[in-house]
Amino acid sequence: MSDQRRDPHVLSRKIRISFPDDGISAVADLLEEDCPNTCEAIWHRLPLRVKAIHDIWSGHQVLAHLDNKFVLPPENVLTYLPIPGDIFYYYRPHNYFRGSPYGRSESAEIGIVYDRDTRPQGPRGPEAVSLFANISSSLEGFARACEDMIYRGQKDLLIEKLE
Amino acid sequence: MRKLLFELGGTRAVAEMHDDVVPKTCDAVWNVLPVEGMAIHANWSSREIMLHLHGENILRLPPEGPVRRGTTAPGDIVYFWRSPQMSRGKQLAYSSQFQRELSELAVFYGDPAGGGLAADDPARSGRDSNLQVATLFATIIDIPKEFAQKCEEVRHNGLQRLVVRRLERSA
Amino acid sequence: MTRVKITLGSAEAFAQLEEKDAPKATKWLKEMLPIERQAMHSMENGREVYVVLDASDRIEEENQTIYQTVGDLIVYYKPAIFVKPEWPRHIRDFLVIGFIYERDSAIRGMSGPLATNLVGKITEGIDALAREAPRMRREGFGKMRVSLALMNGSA
Repeated sequence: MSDQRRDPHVLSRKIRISFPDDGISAVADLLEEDCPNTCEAIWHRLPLRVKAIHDIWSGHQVLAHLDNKFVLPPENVLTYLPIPGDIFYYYRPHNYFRGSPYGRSESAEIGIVYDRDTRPQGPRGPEAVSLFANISSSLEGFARACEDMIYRGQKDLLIEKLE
Repeated sequence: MRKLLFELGGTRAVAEMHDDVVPKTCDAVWNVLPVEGMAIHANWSSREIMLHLHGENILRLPPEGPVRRGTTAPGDIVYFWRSPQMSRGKQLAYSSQFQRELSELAVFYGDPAGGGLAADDPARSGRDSNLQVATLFATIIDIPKEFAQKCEEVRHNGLQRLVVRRLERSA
Repeated sequence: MTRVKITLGSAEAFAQLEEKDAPKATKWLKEMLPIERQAMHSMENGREVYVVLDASDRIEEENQTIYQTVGDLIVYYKPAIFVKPEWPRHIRDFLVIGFIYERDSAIRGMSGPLATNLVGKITEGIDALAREAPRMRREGFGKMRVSLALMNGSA
């Protein structure tokens, strides 16, 4: 299934990402033409309810840890600067970073860039991430809820298929 | 050492292959020559023009030789390959067949060579080295001024035909 | 809020100047307009197109970031070696005005990221610029023009 390209005439699927405790949500387009395998793998995991935390290295970015066994190869790799609304998948193996940021040496993550002046990075500098979606509506309210996490800490994040 | 001849808009440059250091890469490149195509100027690695290989000339070679961390010198001729996974988005400046997988010969013709954003890409190097290969396999002997000028013109004036040939020893 | 029009070949775009956050830089820029010069594509920063400006005044750091993004209209001093094939005898930086038209771009100096004055945001026409710039990489660069946009969009 993941080897088949989707029919390009079918519009890309969408996901809804929300902070259920705040009643805030946004809609993102899956970048299926550029990142088909990652989009497919993520779609099949939905709905996902995870704890989101504010990143400490990258700027205006929040991240959620996934099951470490959810390992995907790189795809549609972004290494320079994202744009606000970009959503990516990221994996690092054990001992890649010095230390264990967020208490995890090995990590599979979803990252959400909610404003400009951001670059996905860690202790060794910029990191390559698989760019698989971009928020297409309601980014502004969602961004405020993300920024709020700097002061109030982690929040539940819900990612669902938008059928 | 085998030698290569680069011909660009009426100018020429000769490069010496590093047969002793990266023999397999040198053999693979030698075997597809001559190649030609429309060279485009780099936008991340400063003074570089690139020739994308296509069709039966596509080279998918494993890494060979000393590890390169993106450090490049003027005159370097680099074999570069990138798997489709490592490309992001659309490459509107490239021809349609070079959208995802890239197999190319990169000609670094002046200073800074490999400067710019390409020099700050630790994210791409290292761990996924099987998904991207950059092998230094030849060096231009005394970069001719006219050749360098012609390469610079590609940046302003657009694509220019580049031919890469074997420089056969005369009998 | 002042609007400017950016023309690159057949592409037209409009940008809002960041007058609140970059008052000195935008005042200076308005006095420089119209600007019409040979457009150049970045060799070092990714998806950037710029023109070199003649300006003897020193531009102050204002509304700066090293995280340039799509649609940014920026003013900064670019190391001369990225503009000219050789270092000029006495000049080490050129003042430029440019824009970013796609991801995978960031402004670099000789040894690291370069903070640039963010003077405007392109609000219309970025897609046209994002098609015209790659076309010019293939076919050659022409002039870029930056001018004040009148309320009805013409300039």
